Amino acid sequence: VTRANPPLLRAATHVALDTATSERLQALGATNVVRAGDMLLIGPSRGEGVEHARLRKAWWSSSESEEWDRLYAPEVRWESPVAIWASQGPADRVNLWRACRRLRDAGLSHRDVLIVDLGHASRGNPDYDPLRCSESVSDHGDDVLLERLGEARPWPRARYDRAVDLWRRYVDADPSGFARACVDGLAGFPELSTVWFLVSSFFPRKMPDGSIHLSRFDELLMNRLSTDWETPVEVYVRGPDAWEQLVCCTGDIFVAMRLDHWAKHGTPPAVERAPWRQRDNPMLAFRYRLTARGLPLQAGVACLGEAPPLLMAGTEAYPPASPWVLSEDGRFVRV
Amino acid sequence: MRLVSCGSATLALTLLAMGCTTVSPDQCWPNTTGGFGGSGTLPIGAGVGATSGDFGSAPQSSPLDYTDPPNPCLEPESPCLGKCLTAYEVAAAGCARIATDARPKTCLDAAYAAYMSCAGACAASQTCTDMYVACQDKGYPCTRVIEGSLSLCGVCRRDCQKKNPYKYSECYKCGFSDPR
Repeated sequence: VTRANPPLLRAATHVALDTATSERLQALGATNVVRAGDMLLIGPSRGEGVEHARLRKAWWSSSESEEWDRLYAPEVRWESPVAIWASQGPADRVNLWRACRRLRDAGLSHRDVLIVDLGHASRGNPDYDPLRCSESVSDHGDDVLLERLGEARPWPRARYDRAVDLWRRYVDADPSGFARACVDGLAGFPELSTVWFLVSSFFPRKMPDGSIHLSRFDELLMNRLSTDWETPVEVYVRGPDAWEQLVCCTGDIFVAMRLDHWAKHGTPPAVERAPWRQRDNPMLAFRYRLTARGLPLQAGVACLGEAPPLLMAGTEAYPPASPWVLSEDGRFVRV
Repeated sequence: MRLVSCGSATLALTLLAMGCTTVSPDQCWPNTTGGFGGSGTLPIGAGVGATSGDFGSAPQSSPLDYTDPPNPCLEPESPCLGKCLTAYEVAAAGCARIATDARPKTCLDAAYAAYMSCAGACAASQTCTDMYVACQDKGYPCTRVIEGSLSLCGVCRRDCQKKNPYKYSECYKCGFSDPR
């Protein structure tokens, strides 16, 4: 396939895992592009498409009319071949597993699915974003995209099956199977270590002395706060490297969401909020600060009920009953 | 936010002729209160506009859904630019105390030149985070959500920090300049 002769570009159904990629593929001449953009590393996910879509919409409380994830949209024509474009970013990889499962449910054989795997983009600042969360297919030049499409092949059946199985484990209400796959590793899926690092950052941790600590994310968040009022913008942009790495992956809106979870949890809550400017902008709608109850949480030690629940993949971090916590050997255990 | 008003006596006729709502960024003038009775006007040049919006000077492939034309006179003031303005106001107040007829113009010119130099340095020192904060101040559509967890401002900041070309041309409209 060359720029002068990209028949596959026009003939295939293309699955783009973010909006910028969707627009790039259309600009290149692709006519049937299915945008399946969503940051699945946070929030709920389910195996069944309609339920998954319903939960995600509720999770984002989206007031946007734009539908950025059309993977389960009934009007989509899945005409073979289908090309799934994926970067090496962890969010793209999880989304790739999901797309494999979706296409299987739509009746397509693995032989009908071309995986257009993009390597790391070489341009840009190599020191920024070590977890590669901001990687996008659209970071690559047109020539690279067309070249990769020309080289794209279906994955062998076994590898495709493993991707489908990883999605099954990811959305399972019992996260221990997914944790095991991540910790043990799986041939052909080097992304598992990064995905695991991120997913595990949102679950409470059981320390060797038996004490329970907040999740890595929440502990960093508590330490970003003080008794002075701050907007989510201010909380998001300043912090230690560990914070920067995590919020680069979650996105800025999630910081505002999680602050809101904390402000609405408990009586009195550990974090309080007060209206600020721009009611329609979650990053500036409220200011937040720690309360007297929240200050001790900066040490990380917590009773499980002190933190607000957080839907994650097929399960929940900090549910009211029988929560999963992360043990020091990287396994999930119920408390 | 500092409302840069169109209040100069000397500029007033010009603005009346062109209509105050149709000014371009390089036609805006701050309402300095330096003590010379409204005659101490100060044009904000392109460098200053670029620190907090740069509307109209950058490439754009698709229009934003602004219902009204942006008011280039309404600019968020960065702390850096605020210092420049304060220094200008002090200098201009000093100019107003000079008695001779000939000196104030030269004095004001010098104060103005110093301001422009200071403001230019502000533009050059803006970090991706500064631009992100200013972007959030602008509100919708700069703050519109892209795929759930990330605002457009957040996408622009990522590209800026990665020193990648901006994926969305709206980044320029929302106050981002090319990553250095």
